[in-house]
Amino acid sequence: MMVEALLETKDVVKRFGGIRAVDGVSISVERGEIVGLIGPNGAGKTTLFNCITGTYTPEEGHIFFEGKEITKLPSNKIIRLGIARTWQVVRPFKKMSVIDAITTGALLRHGKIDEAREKAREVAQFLGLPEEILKKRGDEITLMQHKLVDLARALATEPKLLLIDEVGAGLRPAELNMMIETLHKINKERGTTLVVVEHIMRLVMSISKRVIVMHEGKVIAQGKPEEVSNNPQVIQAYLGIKPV
Amino acid sequence: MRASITRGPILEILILIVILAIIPLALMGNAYYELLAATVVLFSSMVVAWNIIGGYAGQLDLGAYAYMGVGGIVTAELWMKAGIPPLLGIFVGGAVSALIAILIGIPTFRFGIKEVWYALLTAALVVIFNNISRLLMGPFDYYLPPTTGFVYLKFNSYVIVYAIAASFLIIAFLVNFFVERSKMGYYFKAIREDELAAEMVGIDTRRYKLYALLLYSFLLGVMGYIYIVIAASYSYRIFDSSASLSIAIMGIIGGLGSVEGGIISSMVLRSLGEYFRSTFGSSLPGLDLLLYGAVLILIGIFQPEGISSLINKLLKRKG
Amino acid sequence: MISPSLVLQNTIDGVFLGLFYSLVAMGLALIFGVMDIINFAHGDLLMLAAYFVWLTSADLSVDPTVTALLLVPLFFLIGLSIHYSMIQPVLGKEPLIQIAVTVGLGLILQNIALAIFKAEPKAVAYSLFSFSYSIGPITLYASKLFIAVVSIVTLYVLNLFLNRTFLGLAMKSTADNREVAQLMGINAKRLYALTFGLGTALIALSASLWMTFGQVQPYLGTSFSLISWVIVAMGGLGGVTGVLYSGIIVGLAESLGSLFLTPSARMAVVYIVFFLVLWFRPRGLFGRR
Repeated sequence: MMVEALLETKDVVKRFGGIRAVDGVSISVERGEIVGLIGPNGAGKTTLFNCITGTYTPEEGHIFFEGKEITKLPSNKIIRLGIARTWQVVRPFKKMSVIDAITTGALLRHGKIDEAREKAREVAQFLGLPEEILKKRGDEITLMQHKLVDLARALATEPKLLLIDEVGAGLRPAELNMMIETLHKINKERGTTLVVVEHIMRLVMSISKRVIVMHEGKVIAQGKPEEVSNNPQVIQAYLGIKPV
Repeated sequence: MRASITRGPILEILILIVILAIIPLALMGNAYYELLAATVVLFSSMVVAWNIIGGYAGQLDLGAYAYMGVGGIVTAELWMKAGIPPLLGIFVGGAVSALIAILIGIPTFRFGIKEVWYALLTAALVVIFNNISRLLMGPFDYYLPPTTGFVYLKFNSYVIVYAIAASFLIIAFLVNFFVERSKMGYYFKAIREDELAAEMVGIDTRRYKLYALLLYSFLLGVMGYIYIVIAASYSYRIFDSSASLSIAIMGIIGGLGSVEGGIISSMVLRSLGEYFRSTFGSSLPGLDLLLYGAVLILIGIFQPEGISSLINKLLKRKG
Repeated sequence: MISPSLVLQNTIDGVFLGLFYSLVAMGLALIFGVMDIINFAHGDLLMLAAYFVWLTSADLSVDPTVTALLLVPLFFLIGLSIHYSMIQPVLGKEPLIQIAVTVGLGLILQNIALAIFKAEPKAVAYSLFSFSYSIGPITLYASKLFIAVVSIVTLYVLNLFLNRTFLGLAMKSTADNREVAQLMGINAKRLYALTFGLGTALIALSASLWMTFGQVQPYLGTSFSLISWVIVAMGGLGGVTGVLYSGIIVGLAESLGSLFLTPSARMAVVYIVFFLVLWFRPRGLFGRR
């Protein structure tokens, strides 16, 4: 008997006009994994995230989370089941304080404000957000801090699966290293399963044990990082050369 | 000075009560001014109620006088036609307003539908009610019965009318106070800041926007009858588009999510507007609205967070 | 009983009116499509233009149709100055503030008009097109026919502009997809200003047409704003044709509504249509997105 996957998509299709942004994608993510999801621009990675979180409803195919079909559920129900995400471009709650923003996430599982606040503090501390940042407003902090706050807000919902979209974009090398460590820490200490969409190869290759490659809406390869990076199809996709 | 405008809410409520209590003393029994003060304070309470939907939840509701008018007329008609005393009737009025609000909210609060449709629909709502009520009620003014008494919320003394308006302001303030400190308040603000991000922390954005609308429209519906008591009569003209806009305008000028800012902007500007109206009303009608429009544009361009952030900055500089 | 010829008469009038409404709403639709802003002062700008028409025709006895030649470029400039002074500064800000600024502009225009012209409606006494034809039981008013023809010709020309010229294509592609348009190297700032100018210029044309048979008073804008919102809501981002169809639907709803119900219920019918559209087709009847 097979072990039930945490997340499973079966032949998911999402169209925009005539374009199949996601074209029959079937992937599965096991509990506790860190999976890298890579591919050139427009490969459909973010669209796939949007399908999983219910922002888009796929036209075809099915998505299962812990064996339960979530394909047509509204976002808030999907999040409640234990999926969270972050975006390539940060989406802060600008006019709320940082601690309030994280508390908003924590309120999903802690109805009382005080408890949620405590949870938010714990998550902030876990991610190494300094105390003095917490009182600042969302429009008064640096990009790196923004990214951590977005992560904290997502983690505060206590997800089993966290979808991370290009968290490395715009970070300096030192910050990138910190981010890699942070993602490892989230996975190890909180047991959160991560799916990481990334363009920065160093980040993907150093954290994921398994990489899925998408191109033009389809999965073209998956496997260990070193296998995938030697796969001729993948190289072609990235270099933009069509096989003759 | 250490008291920031965003802190010390208990102190604020006390200050508000004291100010509201001093105003009638300062008016020295002049009935005209007392009535005017009641008008301004009721207007202020509408702005404070608006803060729930507009300030916290970030939905530009332009239909304040639709909800208020419906609630007021329902209460008045229930009294005159069915003998239900307004003290009870105002809750029915509030409930009817909330019901209408839900009918507006359900189609427009779906996720991913532009904010602007809600603004348009609520602005249209006032005009629709104006037209429909003119069809149903004709161009006449309907006067409330001369009966006075607590169950009718109607009194011979304008000071008591003022006191009722003032207590509505305090109630609206308290509702805001509790909302801001509840899960709802956090969720409303998250929706205002970024609806997609709010969805992604598990907020049912449509449901919470409806909650905000329900609170707001119920409060306004309840206030409607007091508006009629102050005016002594009602007609289809209660559905006033410009007045409706000015509620939202005061909320924005005060600063989204700032109850204090809303109270200050509405009291100052409305008093100034009333002064203009009494001084230039015959030669330059609409000068008050002109003022509101001009201040709104200036605030929108130069100080989009309203006067509350301006005051906060001043306090910070001093302290 | 309502006679069939009366129904026919109202249907024809409704279509004519609808064509005119399409023109009225087109400026709003264009600005909304390209800039993602709903101009709440749309109708009030029309009211302002209508007063210009009244002034020139009353004092200089110029026909409204001729005034248009002067007003259209003037309102293009007025549009530009509104854009640079009020719209541009709030473009990046939250939608609520963007809407609020135009709400403020509308209030200002309304109350300036009230202060200067007072509340009595003004009309132009004479127009080139104040005669009518009779075909059996049907009466065709030359002014309404003229308005309908000018509206449809203008919309046709606008459609050509949006599909054949670089500037037009830039506007159209920005309306379709903002990011792609930026990748194409379209200068968004200039494009926005031109769009706002063009949208405002279209308003001046509608106002000139309106004054060949209508009246102007300070609150004229409210009803035109509402009608334009309804049309844009229905038309969605369906371009010129979407606006045209929606305009005709609104014109027919108003005209037949006043026939079958009562004339004073005609606007209520229009709003109910608006409401139903928002309820069932929130992205418009002819929208693509």
